[in-house]
Amino acid sequence: MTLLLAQLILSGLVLGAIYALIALGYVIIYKATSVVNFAQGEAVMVGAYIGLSVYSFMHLPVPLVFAITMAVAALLGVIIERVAYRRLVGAPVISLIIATLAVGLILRNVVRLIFGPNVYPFPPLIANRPLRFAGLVTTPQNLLILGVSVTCMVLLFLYFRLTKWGKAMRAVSQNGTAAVLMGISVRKVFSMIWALSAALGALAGVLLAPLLVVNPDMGWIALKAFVVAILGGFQSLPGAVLGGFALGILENLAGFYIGSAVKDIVAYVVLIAILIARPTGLFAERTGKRV
Amino acid sequence: MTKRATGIAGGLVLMATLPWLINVYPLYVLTLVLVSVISAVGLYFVTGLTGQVSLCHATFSGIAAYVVAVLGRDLGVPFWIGWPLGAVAAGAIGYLVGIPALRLQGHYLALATLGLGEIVLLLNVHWERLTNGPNGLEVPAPRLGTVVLSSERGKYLLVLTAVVVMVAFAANLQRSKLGLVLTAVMDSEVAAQAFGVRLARYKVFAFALSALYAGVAGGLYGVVVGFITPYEFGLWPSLWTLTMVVVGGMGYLWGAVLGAIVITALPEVLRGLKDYQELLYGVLILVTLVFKPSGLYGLVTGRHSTASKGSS
Repeated sequence: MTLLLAQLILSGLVLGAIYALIALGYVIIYKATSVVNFAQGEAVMVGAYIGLSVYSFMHLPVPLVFAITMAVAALLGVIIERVAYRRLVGAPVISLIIATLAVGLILRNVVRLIFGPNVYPFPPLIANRPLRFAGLVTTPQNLLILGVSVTCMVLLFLYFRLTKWGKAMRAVSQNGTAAVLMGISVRKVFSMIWALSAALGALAGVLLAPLLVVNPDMGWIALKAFVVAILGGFQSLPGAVLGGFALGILENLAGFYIGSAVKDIVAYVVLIAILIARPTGLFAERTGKRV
Repeated sequence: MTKRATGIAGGLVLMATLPWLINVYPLYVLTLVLVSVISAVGLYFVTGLTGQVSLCHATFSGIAAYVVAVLGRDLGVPFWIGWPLGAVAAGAIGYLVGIPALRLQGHYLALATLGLGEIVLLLNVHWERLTNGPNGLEVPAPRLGTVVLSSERGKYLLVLTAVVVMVAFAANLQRSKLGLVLTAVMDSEVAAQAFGVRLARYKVFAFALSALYAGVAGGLYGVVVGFITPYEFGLWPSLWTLTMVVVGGMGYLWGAVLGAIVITALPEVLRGLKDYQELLYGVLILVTLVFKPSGLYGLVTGRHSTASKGSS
């Protein structure tokens, strides 16, 4: 019984790690710009297609696939910020939110035009045989997904804590005006934040692709990462990570104990419950009320 | 003023005689355009007036459409009772969702409505005994006495009547005390609050009203198309309605009307470019946001700046 529970939790962690990566993308954008980025799912989708191109079509080694995917996505993030979002600085936030919807729509259709609407299988990232450990079963690929995600999260935290640009980003998130007065170029910071968030989404896409299949509509999964971000309070990076794992596990448990149809609904029920009962999120940092 | 009244009356007479002037297919498209006008005007109350994003507008339409279809199928309830019931049900659910979401700052309504939309969609797909799942439900034509409104002409006239009533109500609402309060909320929440406006109450009211409009449109949509499936009321149709309000010109009632006309009729115009249609939509929204935030309404009124404005 406990073994079964542990198995369900272990499998939940894998998808949870991917949710967490996508949610981190939402949170860093929101903290800096107050924009809810509805194109984050498309970053995931585009990442999967870039990964597919360099891995499945060009047969590059896996570490290089991660690096190239994240770099290309980051570049794409910078370009989109340049072309679309930068021109809307100063516009009402609602215009920016709708702009992200439009960007998502454009990305999805450009990909559909290039690759066609058909579904591509994504080859396994690593030889896929079951691994047994203390009665639990998993695959090397699942461990790889977990390992890469967690490494990436740790690097992200260190980046924000230790590097100059990381500190600049935190400064802009805390107080844009003060950051400008301290000589920080908010433009460059915004540009880098969109790049970083696109790279995170794309990485999530490559990690997700072998578990699902690649198609232009695979960005729907980001809707669940939304719930994750809200679970964590939408402002907190550790909250997003914990929320990701929590939802991954919760979905797995609900899918097993209640029924597979419930699995997809759980996330949204949690969303509504959180919004009603505790809108600042489960793991909210202690901050004053934002007005 | 009398000039304007004659203009409106002339336009209405023309609209009412159109079914005898044009073919069946254009008439069908025009009917769908009018249905989307009702829906877009509804969303205008939320997005245009109080500046909030709702992502489940089509869900409310779906609730009403399914109420009409299911009540008709299981209990034999006629359209004329099922339709208002469905619209009120949509409005009530909107009210309930609006209460928690609108008391909070920022984008919480967008997130809550996204969640609601997905829950209703998934319920609709999986609860097959009630909704027949992805296979959809037939919606019989409404009867008026002994006449069955099954012809395109009949449906068009039904929808036209509804549009006139709903748009007129919206236009008058704008000029009422309530409309002024809502506009004040959009201009500056802080200032409105300082004048004693209870923000949350008005926002929730606007949201419920918008859901009611969506419901009215949904009931009509079912009748016009004759067949409904869950995905017609999912996230994407909601986003299209949002597109109508934005491209038409955020904050303008007649902008929402214009946007609904253009966005619904556009696929017919772009028929040859089917693969590029959504791409063009996306580009159109971005271009509007960046270069013409006042939208089509701004474009039209900018050209004829001396023409009397319909509102404000």
